[in-house]
Amino acid sequence: MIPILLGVSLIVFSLMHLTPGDPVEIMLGEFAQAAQIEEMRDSLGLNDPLHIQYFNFIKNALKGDFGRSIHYNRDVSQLIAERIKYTAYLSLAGMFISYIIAFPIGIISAIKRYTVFDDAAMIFALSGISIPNFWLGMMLILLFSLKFGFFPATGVGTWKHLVLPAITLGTAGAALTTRLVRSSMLEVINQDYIRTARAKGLRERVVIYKHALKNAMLPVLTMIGLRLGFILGGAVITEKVFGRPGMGRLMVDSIFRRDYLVVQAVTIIIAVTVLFANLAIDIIYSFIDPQIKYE
Amino acid sequence: MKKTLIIFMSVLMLFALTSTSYVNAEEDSLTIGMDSDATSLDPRFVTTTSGMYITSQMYNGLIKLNKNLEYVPDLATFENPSDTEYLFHIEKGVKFHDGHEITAEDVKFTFESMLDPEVGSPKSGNYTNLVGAEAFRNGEAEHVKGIEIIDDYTVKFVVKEPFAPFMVNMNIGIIPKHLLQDEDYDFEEHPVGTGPFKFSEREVDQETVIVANDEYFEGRPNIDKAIYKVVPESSVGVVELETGAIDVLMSITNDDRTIIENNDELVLSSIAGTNYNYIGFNVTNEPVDNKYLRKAIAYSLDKDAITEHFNGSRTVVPLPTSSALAQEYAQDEEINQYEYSYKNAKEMLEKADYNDEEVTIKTSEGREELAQIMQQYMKAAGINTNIELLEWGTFYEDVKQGRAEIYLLGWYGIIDPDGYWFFHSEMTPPEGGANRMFYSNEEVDELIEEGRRTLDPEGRKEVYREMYKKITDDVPMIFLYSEADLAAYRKGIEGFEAAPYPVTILHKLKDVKIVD
Repeated sequence: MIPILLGVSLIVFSLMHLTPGDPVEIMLGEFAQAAQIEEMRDSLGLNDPLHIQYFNFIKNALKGDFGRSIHYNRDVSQLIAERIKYTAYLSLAGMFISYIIAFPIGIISAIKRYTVFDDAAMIFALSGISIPNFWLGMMLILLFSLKFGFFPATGVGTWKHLVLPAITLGTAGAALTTRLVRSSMLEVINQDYIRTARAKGLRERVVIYKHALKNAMLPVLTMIGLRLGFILGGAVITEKVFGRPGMGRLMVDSIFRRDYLVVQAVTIIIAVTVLFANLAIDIIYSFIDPQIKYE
Repeated sequence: MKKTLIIFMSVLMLFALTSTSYVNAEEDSLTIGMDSDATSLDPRFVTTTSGMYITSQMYNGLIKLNKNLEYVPDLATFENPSDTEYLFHIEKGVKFHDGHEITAEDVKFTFESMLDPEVGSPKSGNYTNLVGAEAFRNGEAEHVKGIEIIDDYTVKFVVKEPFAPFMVNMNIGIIPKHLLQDEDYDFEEHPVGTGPFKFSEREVDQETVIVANDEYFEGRPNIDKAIYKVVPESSVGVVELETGAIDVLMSITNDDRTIIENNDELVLSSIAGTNYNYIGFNVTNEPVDNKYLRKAIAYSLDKDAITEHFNGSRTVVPLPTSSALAQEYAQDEEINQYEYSYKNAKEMLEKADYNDEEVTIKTSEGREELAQIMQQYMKAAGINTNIELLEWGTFYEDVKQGRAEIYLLGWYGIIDPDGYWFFHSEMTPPEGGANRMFYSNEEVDELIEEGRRTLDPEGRKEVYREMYKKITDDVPMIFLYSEADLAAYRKGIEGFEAAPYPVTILHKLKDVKIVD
């Protein structure tokens, strides 16, 4: 895990410093004088050799100090602490919506393969993947905020603020997972042990939910781990449309402002989250499939 | 199935019944939408428009601008005892939000702390022409000699030499010395000013709440509370305005203009902007180092049609059309306006000895349409172009580093005709400032310096007339148009007006009233 984190930090650090554009110039604006820019670069340590800057960043990050944002003139840790909960709520709600839609539809499509329901489900999946998040968000706002006034269009604070963003974020995931659940179920229900279960005279419900679904879960679980990173980083469009102050928006805005320390810190936090999520999923594997053991 | 439908409908009904709860219920509270958040509420660090919107309500400067962009007293009246001295007489009895009276000490502290390298204010460069500023910055002096306290309510500022644009930067908000002297006091979290509104609470990137200052020296504001809410997507901002979740929306784009105009519940407010959009040439790079090619390009463009396309108003000098001077110079026959002429363009191309070389137009998001329009006009005149669309940071770096031939940019907040930052050869990057054309003309340099020394407005006008004649003849830039700044609000709000971006000091909520 540590080599992966070091690798991630090194790549992000190098990419940010290779990109043209100077954070101090962007922040000080059009009327900045050269001496003033130099002064500020010095005080921020941006004139130090790159390897020293990287070393300092890692040294401080290990102590939990990610430095000070150039743009906000505030501690990066504080900026992240204020936003992480909003991204966490949105990601969890988005994933919840994804799976609550995907599992029943995926399972039923697999059982009722090649029926009208299956076709409709696959059209839903295709549309879900194809519809851009941005557009879906806007449509939901137009319908549920402007037309019916059910939910607020922007902001945070109550569960109502979370509904539209979670649906927006969850839909693409739902579509993808539906297809995965379906194909993975199809593979399993053609196995010999399912035929055996049926031959034993077990009820269909037990066959599907106890024997088939448990075995079909492995690839789906793998994808949950992988998707977490995507959702954390990919929440940015949703956060922007719905005006949510989350980590994705913070990161993308900071890239444009060349606010190096913020970008590095957010990337590392996302990387740590994804690594831990995948570790957790690896452990869950062993509960679902006793053949998998960790030594 | 029927049962599910009934449950679904009941849930919908429940939402419908509770759905209005998030819309403003209080009559005396105004919610203002803006596209990004303030990065700071300390006037020494405010560089963004959103920051200026909020801090304009919380602080007072020594002076302020009126609608004609003229300087008028705010906290202080002013006089010029000599060409290099400015005396400010502070109004007695004005109090900070914590009840402390503002005195000359606070004024001196505000300007000195901006000059203090340890404070790191991005605005320090605005005050380096004060006597003793350099010695103070180098640590050789404890105070700035050119900021003198005469008595508790009088401060004298002394500049090194006569400097006509001096007043431009004197509208900065005055901050309380007694609080900022205490190193443990977190001013960013608890900002205190003298303005009509006091800071209440803030969630970064979400909203900032300010409340009426009952003790305000010019009378209490009509509304009790203002909430500045961040709505990053402009189209969502319009929806928020339509639903009433916000009452006012700042910075309306041209695309959203029609929606607002077609909605009876909304009012569009428009004000002449303090901006101008231009086409810049890096005059040191081939092939646009050739003055005649630049002239050919200037003639090849139908600037009136371009201006109309972007809903702007045409400007022929490097000043926004809201400036009275710009209007005067536009009538001046000696200032070349490069009226659209195919014949002249061809003639200039011949003089330029142009051999079909490709000219690159660099731009960033937001101006790509202008680049395409230019490309068509220039093609018609026989000039080959190539458009490079870049991300803002990369584009800006390229232009500053001199890696551009033609680039598209704009200036905002231009109030004074002083062209030092843009046209003086000392301001050429990377050492200097904003002369990104890498333009150098000794005569222009001298005229700029003379303009800065000339305090008499009529005399200054003459100097700049000469300067613009020379600049327009050299064509380091083609001046296109100024855009109006737009804001929209819901009916039932009185006294609200759009403010020219980023001269948001004109954005004032004090007299705004909610009538229904």
